Amino acid sequence: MTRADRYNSGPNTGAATLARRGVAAWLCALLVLTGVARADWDSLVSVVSRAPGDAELVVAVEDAAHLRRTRIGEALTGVIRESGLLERTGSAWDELALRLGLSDDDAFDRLLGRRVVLIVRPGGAGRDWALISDVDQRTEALLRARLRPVPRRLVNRRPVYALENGAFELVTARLSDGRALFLITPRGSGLLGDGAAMLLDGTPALDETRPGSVEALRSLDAGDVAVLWRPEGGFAALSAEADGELSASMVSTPGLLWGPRTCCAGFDLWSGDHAEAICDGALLAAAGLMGSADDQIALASAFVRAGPLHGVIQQLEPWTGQRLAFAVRETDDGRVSVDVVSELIADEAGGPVDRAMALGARRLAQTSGGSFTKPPACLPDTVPTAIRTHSLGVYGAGLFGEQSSVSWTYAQRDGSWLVASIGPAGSNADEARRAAERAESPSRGRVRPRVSVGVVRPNALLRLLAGHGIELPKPLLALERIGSLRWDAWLDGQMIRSRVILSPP
Amino acid sequence: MKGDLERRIDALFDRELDSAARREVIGEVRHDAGACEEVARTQRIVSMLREPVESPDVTDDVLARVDRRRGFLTPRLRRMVTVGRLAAALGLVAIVGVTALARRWWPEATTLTPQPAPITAVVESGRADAADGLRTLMDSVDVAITPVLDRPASLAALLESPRMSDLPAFESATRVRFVGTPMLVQADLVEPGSVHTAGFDLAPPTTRRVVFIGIDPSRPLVAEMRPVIRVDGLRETSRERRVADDAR
Repeated sequence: MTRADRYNSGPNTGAATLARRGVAAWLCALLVLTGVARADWDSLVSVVSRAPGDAELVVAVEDAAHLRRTRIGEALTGVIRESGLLERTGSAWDELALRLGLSDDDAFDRLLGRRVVLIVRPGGAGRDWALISDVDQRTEALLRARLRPVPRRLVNRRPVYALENGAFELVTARLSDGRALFLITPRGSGLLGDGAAMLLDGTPALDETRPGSVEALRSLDAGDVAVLWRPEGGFAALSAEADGELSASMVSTPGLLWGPRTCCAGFDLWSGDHAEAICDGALLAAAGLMGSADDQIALASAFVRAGPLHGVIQQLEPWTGQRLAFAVRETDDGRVSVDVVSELIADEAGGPVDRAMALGARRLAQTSGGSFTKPPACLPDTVPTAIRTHSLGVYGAGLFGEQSSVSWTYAQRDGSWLVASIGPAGSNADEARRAAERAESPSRGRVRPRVSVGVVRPNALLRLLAGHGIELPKPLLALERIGSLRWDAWLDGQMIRSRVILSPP
Repeated sequence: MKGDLERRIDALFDRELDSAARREVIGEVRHDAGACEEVARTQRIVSMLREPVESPDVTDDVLARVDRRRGFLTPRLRRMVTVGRLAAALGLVAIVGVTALARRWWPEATTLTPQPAPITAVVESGRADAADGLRTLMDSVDVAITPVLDRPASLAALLESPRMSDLPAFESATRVRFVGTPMLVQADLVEPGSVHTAGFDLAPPTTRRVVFIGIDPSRPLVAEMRPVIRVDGLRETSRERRVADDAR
């Protein structure tokens, strides 16, 4: 067998195939990382746009070393370390850093801290990926010295190295001005080969395979992080920048990040200031649309339906719309109240909804050993704005006080709304009244149609729970380093745009 | 005296005399014809000994004869020894070549001690953590809110079956968590290693069914699934609710 025959034999494992892939990957890396002159948003978008056409996920990060040292970067690093969620990865990274003779932080900064691109695409046995990083020549030399790459072949004067029992392939190159590139892929990866061929042949790459995705990314606010995720049936683009806080702007097809897949034709969306008013001041709040494609939410919904409120929700379904909001608040006396605001789609809903709510109160009271008082028969239909209150007894492990109650009423703003609150028995009626006032708050002109608005304040929420004796597992305790997570998603034509802001305490 | 002269002439040819003695002997020989003839004859003999003697080269014949006469190895055995030596040399070359190729293509095969693979560890750990991270976080949330929502009591209240209180999954469960769809709720019991799981099939409203699964941790979950209680047409009124105990 001649060298050429050997190289051409086999589907993906021939030496020539590997060599071509290595060189193609190298060329692609070169094109990706050196074809841009400015370290700005356009260049990051350009990096992403030149990835192979079948890439499912492309992440490009500029100056990750700086991002790590920002306040929010340090907070997130602390969360990762303290939660233990990435404990094995952290240990493995420490080993890698030790092998390189660096601290783990230095290893991050020198290996990934300048410009790094991760490309993932579906592969035969899982995911195929490639990591390309722009490093200094000292780091490139360090990699070659400490990781002991084994030269496999020399193609076009460019060596392709094998790493760690041949599990990975490494291509490095020195550029001008002291820079260098390294590209690492799993053995046999053809990820960048196709993309490089497309680039070299002048064939359009990523954007043409999913029209609009790169343009959508380009339309976002400038940032240091660019992400393009393109699963089957849609795409999502993200831009993020970090300083004191992490601010991400996103655009996605409906159902992927926000809202149901069928959104949003025929949906009544939230008015912006309405949703914000309901979430205002809450420790945890969300205003969104029912029917989310998220499996976890569907499962949680199924659990609620199967719980003591089964039948209640079933009875409410004919009268409730798609807009639903909830808010967890700290009461004046340090207890917790949970507000629920649900859209009603019929003016005559009062009677059936009252009966369903009374049934729910009875169910909750039965499970918690509380009392149940039958409501006055005349109240629901005659005084819609009256506060209905039923005792739940001891419920919610003391979070709602020694005695808790459920109160509800109705509010009017762009239609009818059911406003319910579970909280301390003594003050819950007032909580329900305040919730209704928020639900009826007058418009301030911020009426951009919202798909979802919400806030989570992990730091304050976890402190409140801990103060009531709720034992919190380590992964949750680590979230104390996060002050707030706020999101706002709105409809923009056929797409859903959103902004997510993560802040330290 | 003559005998003494002969002895000194021999010493002369043997270069045992100093220059004074040599001159003395040569002076005496000049006056003695017999001694002079003796010296000339001896000189001639010495000169002849210094000249090469022409004779045929019999080295090959001698060595061949010696070779043939070696009695400890037969010619066949000697050929085998030769072939063996050649094979050993070729083997050595092959080992060196294979080792060189192995170091190029399978470097790990050329080392006796396991080599560290930090990049492999980072990649594999990252995959594992990514897969487990979300689940761990959800479990953490579940652990935190279980006492708040009082789920075991809620589930028991849902079914309102008098037999429910007899089921250990709800009597002594420490926590209940989601484990899968359509609606699997796993309850961890107080006894170490003992787990019961309740499954709720919620899809068709009119054939809603509740099953309880006794889990032996050493056996697959699905294999242990056995329906104990079936609840048909679960509604909020007892008149419409029928509870059938399939197990009994």
